[in-house]
Amino acid sequence: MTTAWIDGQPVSTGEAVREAAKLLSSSRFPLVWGSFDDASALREGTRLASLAGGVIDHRDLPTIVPLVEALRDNGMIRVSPGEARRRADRVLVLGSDPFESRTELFEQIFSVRPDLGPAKENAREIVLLGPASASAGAFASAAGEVRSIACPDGEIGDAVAILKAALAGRPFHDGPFEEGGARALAGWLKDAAFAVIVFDAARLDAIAIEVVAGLVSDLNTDTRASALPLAPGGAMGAAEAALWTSGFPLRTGFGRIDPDHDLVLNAADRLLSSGEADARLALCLGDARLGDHDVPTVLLTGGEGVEADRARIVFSVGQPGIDHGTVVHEARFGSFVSRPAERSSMLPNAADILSAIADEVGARVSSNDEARR
Amino acid sequence: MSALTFRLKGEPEERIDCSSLVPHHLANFSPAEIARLPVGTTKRGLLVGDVFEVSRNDAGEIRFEGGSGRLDRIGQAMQGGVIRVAGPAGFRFGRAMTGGELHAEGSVGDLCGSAMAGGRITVGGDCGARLGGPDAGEMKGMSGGTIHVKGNAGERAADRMRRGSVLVGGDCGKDAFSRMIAGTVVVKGKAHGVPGRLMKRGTIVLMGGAERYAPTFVDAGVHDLLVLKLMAKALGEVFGVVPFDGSPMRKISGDTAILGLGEIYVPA
Amino acid sequence: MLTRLKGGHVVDPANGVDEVRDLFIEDGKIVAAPTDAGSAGEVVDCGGLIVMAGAIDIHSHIAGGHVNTARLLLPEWHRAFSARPGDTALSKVGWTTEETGLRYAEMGFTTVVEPAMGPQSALHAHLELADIPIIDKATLVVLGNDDLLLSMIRDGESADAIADYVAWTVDASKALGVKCINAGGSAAFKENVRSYAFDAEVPDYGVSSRQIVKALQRAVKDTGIPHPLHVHCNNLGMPGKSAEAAEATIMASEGLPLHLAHIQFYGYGTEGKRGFSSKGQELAALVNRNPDVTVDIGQVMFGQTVTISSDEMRQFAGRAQASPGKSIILDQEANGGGVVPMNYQEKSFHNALQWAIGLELFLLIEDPSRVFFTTDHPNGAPFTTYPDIFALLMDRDMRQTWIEALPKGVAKWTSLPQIEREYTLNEIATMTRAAPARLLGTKDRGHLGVGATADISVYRPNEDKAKMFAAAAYLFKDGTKVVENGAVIARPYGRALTLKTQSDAAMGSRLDRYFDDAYGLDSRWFKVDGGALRRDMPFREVPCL
Repeated sequence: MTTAWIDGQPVSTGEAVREAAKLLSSSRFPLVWGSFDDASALREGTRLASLAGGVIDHRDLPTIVPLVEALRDNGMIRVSPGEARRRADRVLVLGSDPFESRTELFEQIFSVRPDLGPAKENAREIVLLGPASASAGAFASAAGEVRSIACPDGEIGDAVAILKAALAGRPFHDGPFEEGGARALAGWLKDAAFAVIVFDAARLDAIAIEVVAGLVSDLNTDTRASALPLAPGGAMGAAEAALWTSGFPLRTGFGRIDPDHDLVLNAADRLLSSGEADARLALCLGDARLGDHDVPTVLLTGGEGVEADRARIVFSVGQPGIDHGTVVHEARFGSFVSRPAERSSMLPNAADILSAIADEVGARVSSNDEARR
Repeated sequence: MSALTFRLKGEPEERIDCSSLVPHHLANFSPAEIARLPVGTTKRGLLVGDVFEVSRNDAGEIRFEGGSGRLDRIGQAMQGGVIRVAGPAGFRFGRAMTGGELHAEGSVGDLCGSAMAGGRITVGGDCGARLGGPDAGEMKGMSGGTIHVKGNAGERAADRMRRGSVLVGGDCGKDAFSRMIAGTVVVKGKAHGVPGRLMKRGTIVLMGGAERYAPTFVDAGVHDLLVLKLMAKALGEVFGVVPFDGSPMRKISGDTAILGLGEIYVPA
Repeated sequence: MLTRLKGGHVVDPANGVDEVRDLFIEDGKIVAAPTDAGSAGEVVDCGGLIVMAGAIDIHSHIAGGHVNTARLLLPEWHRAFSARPGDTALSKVGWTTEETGLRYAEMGFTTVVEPAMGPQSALHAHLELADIPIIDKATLVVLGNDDLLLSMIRDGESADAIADYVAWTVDASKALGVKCINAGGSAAFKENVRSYAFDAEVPDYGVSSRQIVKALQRAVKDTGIPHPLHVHCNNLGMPGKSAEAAEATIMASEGLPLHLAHIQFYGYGTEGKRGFSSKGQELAALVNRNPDVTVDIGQVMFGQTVTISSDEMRQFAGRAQASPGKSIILDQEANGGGVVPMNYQEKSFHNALQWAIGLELFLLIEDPSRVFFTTDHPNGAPFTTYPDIFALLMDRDMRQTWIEALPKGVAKWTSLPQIEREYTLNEIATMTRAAPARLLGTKDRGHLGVGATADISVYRPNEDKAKMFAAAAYLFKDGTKVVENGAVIARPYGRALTLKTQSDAAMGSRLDRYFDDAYGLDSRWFKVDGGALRRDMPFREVPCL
């Protein structure tokens, strides 16, 4: 079974690894980018980017950038889903159903009543602040009393800011609320035993997330409340693994001795369109695509559309968690879990290919150093 | 004496870190030593001499002949003297500077004047996002000095600004003055998006008004305030000409989500 | 190959050795001197140098969810940013797993314990540990605010059942011991309780902190875990209440071993116009009188750092002092926790006294095998400050110089200026090698006897003790030379030390049901799979008692 090609010709994995290492080593500023949901692949990808003097980026990073910015600029009091399940007597849900593609997480939190804390005897109260209706969608089946307050998605940040002003007794315009509605909702949060504010972190901007964090912080002066930002596990897990391997949550360059972190300058699209990145290694799984830009490319592909003709060196790789084991960030758990392979497969693990290329690049770097001495 | 000049040999292929090319740092270096300073950001290890022709003279005034959007960190942490860029410049133009004068004839990138504490920046063209704002994780943006951008400013200008004065000759991008702590900003054009989100204090004059105000900003009526006259006069002395003269203006206060002591003045 | 470390001054208190002699290494172990010393394939000249076992740090937050959150929270203090806001003690640590291993190795450390791994963060912690080069690692798993334990105590379940649960958790999480952090306090905080003491009850459970500590102390013993229960007491940092909590906990040891973590943070009284004074002398005397108890210090050093703790109640309260003013607090199953940046300032009366109290405790606790060398990294200070702390312990004049730089008035609130004791090299070796290995039950290390793992640090004597301990002349890890003249020359991966604790199979099936019913979680997620770590030999098992 052929799993590696150079210029369209089948080759051994070893040959392709050496050629990939040569391409990345001889480039000025290579980009290592793609579907790094598997923490094993991300760990090896970071090592490769570091040895090759390139940049590491995840294709879904934009979905977590606002949350990353809000967390590090402002901080937050936040809660795990499991604790929300057991304690949250009042839940404020922001925006269009944030659980739309998160059925298991929804079930984890909302299929049961809270059973810890002073309000454990009461039914959970849920307010949907957003365009969704309480009687439609998943929340119709939630164990609790659900009502909705209409608010367009674009005004969620405003609405939370209003709640924060109302809680503090400062003036505001009603915005999406009916007269008196904002004060009533702020009071409802304040009177909770354990209030949770849940939102899709990809749909709010960083300032709006800071406002949510600020509201939660204000509520905690007297009572307990906590935020539950929902973020895609793949990008979040990659950012976590990048933090311990490089010190930063991705979009980090290794052109110099110390890593350079910059969410704007090191974004994959910008590096390719500006020509600053002159080579790339792309890990394309699922629906990931190479995009519009063409540079000398090493492609690790296990995706739906194999764009093999656009890469000099191609490796066919398996699906993490299906063809081989994987380590991923699991939102329900709030941390990493490992999953074994579901089937026996001949397809190589992307993490192993990345590791082999990194070793080869590392060997080239040290032999260059030797030569210079 | 004429300036110490860095003449760009051609558009660099990579981003160039010019942070070492500031007067106080170069004062004691010979031309040969300057040519060997590292400025590259990739493993190629580019030196000044690879990127620029250097003509040595008085390091108290530095001149970049031919700019580029890839020349980052020009004037970073400069303490005094003058730097002029005959063209555009990259990111972090004048970041964390504490004194001196920094001028670009063209446009500059994001984080111009980021967290600067003193000195004067002028930009002939536009500037990118987060004018004067903090870098990742930092708690305060600009805390002193003055910035004059003759063109437009990008998103979130004056983010977390704490002190100092900014004049924007054109418009401001989305969500300007976010999280502003204090300081003064005058905008000749309009503010796109929602200005002042989470601002605590600070004074803003928006001659072209805003696209929209957040519901946590409240109209405080038209005022004929002495402070506006004093401000127009004081800022006029800093910037030469300012687009308001102290006539009565409408005051909008916010952001009441956080403290509500910020003031946005628009023409009455 | 046989390696000979020739002519060094060997300081090995575990074996009563304090003299010039040779050491021999083969296959990663220390071996007896061969009949022909000349047969060694490699000779390392240690003439004039001090030879000790590799140092062991029993309490340093180097890996796991909260540590990573601190990295996320403070990008502006990372090394890459250091040229911009200026060098900080924190920036010198390096924020990556790789740099953690390199910096520890350069100082001659070969084993470091991450003391606060939440059961849910176990895989995350081990993934990070697997990426730390050179040193061996170990973890303590945190129990004592978890719903199941509190429920078991409330429901009067047997000590055997509790021991089974503890054994299952230690085995699943691949830990070397058990820690409890403000037992019951985090659970109470989720019910909006803001102040909590040793005999206070957790709402919903009606169980006190004392009951939790005692139940865990017994379970640890029953399970045969060598390391005694590692306790982070209630009311950390609160003047008066902290010292009361430490005293109550020490008195509750009742003949069984108990380890109290970062005791400096409990040495606070309420005297003086600032309501903040030293309880160092009283606390040291109490430790001296109670031989069941061991303590580590959690020394404060001046400069920017960040506090990382699973004591959610304390971290929430500490938000007000955050510097820079931002923090991340986590409500989670069991402990949760928080990350709060802190800037200890020499000019602050409060911080200066904290510094002095730590040293008082170091110097007034008489037995160097019952007091351990920690800063509670990074809570009191980053571990890169260790060389300075060694110097402060070994050099009274240096202490005097530091005391003179403190704000006026601090000196009269501490006995530190009067303390003449200077630690000897032998005592340092006891405190940082022999005793921690005994405390952890890791008999293969902490000493240089035949059969020991060849983790050996070699120092070049210097009047300036900070210089001496900052850069090992040599470090051998498992017999491989990894440091030379303070610089890393090889970076093999060490292993995580684990225990094989036995639990009843019925506990396994009970927990499968429990995690699903109570939290909607899969119990398999709590079990660390060594294969997921991508290292050839990720673990090394330590025998239970």
